[in-house]
Amino acid sequence: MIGFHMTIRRKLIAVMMFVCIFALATAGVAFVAWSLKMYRRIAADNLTITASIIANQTRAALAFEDAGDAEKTLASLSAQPSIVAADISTRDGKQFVSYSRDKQKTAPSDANGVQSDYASRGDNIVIHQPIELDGEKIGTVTLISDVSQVRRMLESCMRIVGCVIIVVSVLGYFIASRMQRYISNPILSLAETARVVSKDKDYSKRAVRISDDETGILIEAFNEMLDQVQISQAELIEAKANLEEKVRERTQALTTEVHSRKEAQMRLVNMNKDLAQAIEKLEQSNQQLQEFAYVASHDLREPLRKISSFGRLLQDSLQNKLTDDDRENFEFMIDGAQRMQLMIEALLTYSRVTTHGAEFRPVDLNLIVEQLRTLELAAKLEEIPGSSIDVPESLPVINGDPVQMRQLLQNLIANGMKYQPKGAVPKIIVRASREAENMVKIEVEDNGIGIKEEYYNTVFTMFRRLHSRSEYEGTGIGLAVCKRIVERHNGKIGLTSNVGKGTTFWFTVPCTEPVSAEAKAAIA
Amino acid sequence: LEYKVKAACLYNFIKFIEWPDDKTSDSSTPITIGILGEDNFGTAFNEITSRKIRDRNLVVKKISDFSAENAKPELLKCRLVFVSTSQRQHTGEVIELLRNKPVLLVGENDGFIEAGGIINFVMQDNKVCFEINADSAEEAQLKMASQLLRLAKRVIKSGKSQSSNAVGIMLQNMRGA
Repeated sequence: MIGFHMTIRRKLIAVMMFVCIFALATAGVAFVAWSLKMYRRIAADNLTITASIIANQTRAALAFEDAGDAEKTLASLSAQPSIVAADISTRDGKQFVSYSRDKQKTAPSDANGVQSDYASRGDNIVIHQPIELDGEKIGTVTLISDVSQVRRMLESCMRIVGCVIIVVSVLGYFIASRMQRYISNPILSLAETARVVSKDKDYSKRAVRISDDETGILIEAFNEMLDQVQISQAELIEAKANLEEKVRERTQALTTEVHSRKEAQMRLVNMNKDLAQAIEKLEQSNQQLQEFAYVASHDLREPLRKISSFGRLLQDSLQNKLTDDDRENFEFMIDGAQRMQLMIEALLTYSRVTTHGAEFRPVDLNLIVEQLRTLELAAKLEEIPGSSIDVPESLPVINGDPVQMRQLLQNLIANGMKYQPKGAVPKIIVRASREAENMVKIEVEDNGIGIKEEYYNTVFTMFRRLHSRSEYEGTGIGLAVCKRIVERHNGKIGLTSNVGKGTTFWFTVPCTEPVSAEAKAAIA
Repeated sequence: LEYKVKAACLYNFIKFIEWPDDKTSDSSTPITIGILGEDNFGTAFNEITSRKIRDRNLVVKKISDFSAENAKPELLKCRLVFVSTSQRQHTGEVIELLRNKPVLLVGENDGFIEAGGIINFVMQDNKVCFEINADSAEEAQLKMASQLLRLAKRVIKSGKSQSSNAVGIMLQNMRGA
């Protein structure tokens, strides 16, 4: 059969050839069969006619039992070679005369024998023709015709059919080879185009439309498809080009940007360097300034002490000789010297915060508050009966400079007691709460005069006083020192206040781990 | 046996010969066979007379002597007259009597047909054969089948004696068909 690996050309040829040969073979077989049948019929008819003639001719011979004449008649059958044997039997079935084409062959003994003998060979034609005389059957003619002629004819028929098939096949092959191009050429050209397109990726190629049939439609569709592919490809290429252009532009822009940023960074670095240098210079100058301040105040202390102490001595020795005005002038002088002494002390304290700080260690705030209550602030507490410093809950142990912590709390509590309306009884409450993981917030609440909100920041500035010296005494350095101490402990300081009702100062300091754990336990 | 064969031949002659009155005769009229002279047939005719020819019965009439009183009218009634050897001396008279009459004259003596008879039996190789004088038959208005003529050993026609075989020629002509 037709293999699927064959080319379309070969398939077409094979199909045409197959149909051609099949049709021819069928027609040939039908023709041969029909011929055979017709020939047999004609042969049988002829044989019947011959038998009739023989019957007529031998009637008299049979009637007169003249075997010689009958034999002569039968002998004339040799003119018809297809007749193998003939036989005339009498009315009672006895053989009268017989004839055999092949003389050597012994003549069959009787009609029935002949019949069965030849019938067994298959295709022999046997004819029985009665011999009648005056309506009376006086005998039978039996003719046996072989089919060798039929077979010969069949063979020649088949030979002719075979020859025709071979000739037609050869011719058909040439015709099919030529005719198949009408179908295969467009397809093959399409296939070639498709192959070239697929191989070279050249979408501008087009298949040539040869016919107007389905193949033509196929080719047209293929070409349209190629059109679309080409358009898409062109668009794709354009898009790609655009994209590349964009990428290039963008890259350039980015490069420029990066460059400018680098420059800016460079400038920044330079600026930072300058800044660092400036900071270094500033720190140096600050350091020098602080040293100067410390030295100055330290050195100023001694002459001031001399002025005030010698002023006191002079005032005592001139006690009686001085007028009231002189005495008053002495007082001013000594007071001034003393205040200056205080201010210098405060300045010294301020500068000592950074220059003479101790190392941080655990400090129990409860202890400090207790010491303040019994020592440093005891005098002020006794001054106004009923005044108090309360610690409602136990304060934590913090990590810091114990001296400065003491200073810090002392300043804040003292401030709270100092800035009171006339005749008021100061009530100070110290509290602690957790601020962050390792910071605690300490609050010092008083019931004093309060501070307006606009001064919340300025109170921590050095030498800044909200009140005249006649109202409340002070150097204007206390809170500045507090701020400096807290800052040294990496904490913050601030306040909230209600004018006329009281102020709460708060600050944060780092707490020690055990206390923090304790505090946590307390909170839990 | 010889006469049994001759009886059968006589019977068959009637079949192969056409009489002028065959078509007009009534089928109820029997066909009469006359045997003139000594009857050597015995019972040979018994079987034959039981059959019919063209639906007509067969009757065998025996006339022992031509010189007998009623011999001539009897002979004229016959269709076929067989003249036996015993009546040889009367052959000429019988032929003369039945000349130009539709009667088949059959004899068994040499020179019978030359004398004017129609068919004569002869013995050849112990077989019964016959001779025919076609002219006499024509004169007697008898039509003889060609096959019969062919089977005859000798045929006298227009004075000439010949023997022919037409069947072979016919068959040869048919070969092409």
